[in-house]
Amino acid sequence: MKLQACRICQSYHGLPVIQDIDLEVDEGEVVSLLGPSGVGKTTLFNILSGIDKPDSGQVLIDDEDMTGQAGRVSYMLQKDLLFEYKTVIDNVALPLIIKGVKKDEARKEALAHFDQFGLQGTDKFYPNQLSGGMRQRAALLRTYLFSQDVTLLDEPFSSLDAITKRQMHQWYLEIIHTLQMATLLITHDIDEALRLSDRIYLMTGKPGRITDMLTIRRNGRSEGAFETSPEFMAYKIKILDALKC
Amino acid sequence: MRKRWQNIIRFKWSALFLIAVLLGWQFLSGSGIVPRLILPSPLQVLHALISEFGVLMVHARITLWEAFIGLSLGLILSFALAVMMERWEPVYQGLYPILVITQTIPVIAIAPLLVLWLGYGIAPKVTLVVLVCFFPVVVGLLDGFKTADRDAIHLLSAMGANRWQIMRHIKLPVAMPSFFAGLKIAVAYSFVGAVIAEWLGGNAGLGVYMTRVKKAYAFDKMFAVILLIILISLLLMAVTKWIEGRVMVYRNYK
Repeated sequence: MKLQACRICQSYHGLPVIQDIDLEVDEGEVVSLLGPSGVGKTTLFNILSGIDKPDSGQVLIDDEDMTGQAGRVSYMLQKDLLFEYKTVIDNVALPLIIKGVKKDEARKEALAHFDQFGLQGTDKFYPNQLSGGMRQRAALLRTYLFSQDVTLLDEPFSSLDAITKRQMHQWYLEIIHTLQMATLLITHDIDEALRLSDRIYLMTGKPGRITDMLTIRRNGRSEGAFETSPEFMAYKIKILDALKC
Repeated sequence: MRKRWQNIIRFKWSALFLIAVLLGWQFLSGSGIVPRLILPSPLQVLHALISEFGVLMVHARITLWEAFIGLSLGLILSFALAVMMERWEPVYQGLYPILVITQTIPVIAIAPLLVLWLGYGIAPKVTLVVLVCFFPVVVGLLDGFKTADRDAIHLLSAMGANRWQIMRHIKLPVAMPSFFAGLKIAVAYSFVGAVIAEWLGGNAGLGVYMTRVKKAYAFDKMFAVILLIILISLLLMAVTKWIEGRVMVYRNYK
């Protein structure tokens, strides 16, 4: 198992925020964590990424206890956090530079992925010169270079307009399957979760708990065909019911 | 293009006002309404500036050198202090009020003391320049550090960055705009500061020259020095602005 959370509890000022969270992400799998805002998704996110330590419970990566340790799990937020004062190439190469790779080599290594991420020709640009979709691509490449192990995405596409978002979804599905990145996608967008994931965890309540888990079977259909199928609607109804709580 | 046009329009108005003031001044002292001995006309000032140019340049070089050394030392000190204050909260809490207090001490009052303590050489001038220019820079840097995005710092720590790397890749770059705002003030202060220090004793420099021509009641030369100081200060600020543009290239792509 690539990423595993075992019975994670966390409270703030004595108030439990999340309780007994168990979840797993397998090698090359895309798993979504779907829930309303305020359910503790970001709290869980900070624990899984190692920024915060939980009150109790464990985070395992490759069956190794990594609770409260940053650096193994890479993540990307809704705001892309590209540094406006660094060129695209230097933004993307930053995780390598932090790891101690020499600047020239880091740039070279980053540049090798530019075509694959649809960023060709943008290396000397500044983030301000890129469109929203391009910025997300650059941020995703940076995330990929940060750690190929597991990637956490916290509503990465929610600031994009609807059309760009769809394009990003399509592109994202392709790239994620080529690169075999194990991904946990945190979102409150049901369609997004259904389009992108292999499995979906539903998180509801106060404190937030995992209340349900769905395995999405597309039966080899293309994204467009799946999205208009009765199964898609069935999943959606099931999720909507579950989220009503 | 539009912006440039607007700049020209604005520039046109300030130029018109300046010319109007100069014409009025020329009329007042040229026609003898105000005695020339007391207020020399702009043309006399210009004449003095041209005829004294060689001497003025010798003195200006010395003053610039003092300002340059003082500013450089001040910058080194400011960076060291700001980084330490950012790194250790007690240092910040302990030093910030003292920094503010040092800024309320009138420069003109401590300058004679500096001369008494440090002699007539370059030392008191450099010290005074350091004193006047490091505050705006330290405050600029500290305020700038505070604008760093918490999520960005989190991201870098998650990548395994240490404090120095966070300083290098986030805090210093985001502090640059407010650092330069402080630096522009510091640059202007540093030159004027050196002149003030020279008033109180020394062998050369624009301040020394000023006291000499004042004692000789050569007001045209006095005004010529003032004009020169204004021009040099403006030039220094323009240079700073140019450097700012080079350092923050990304700002051209907004």
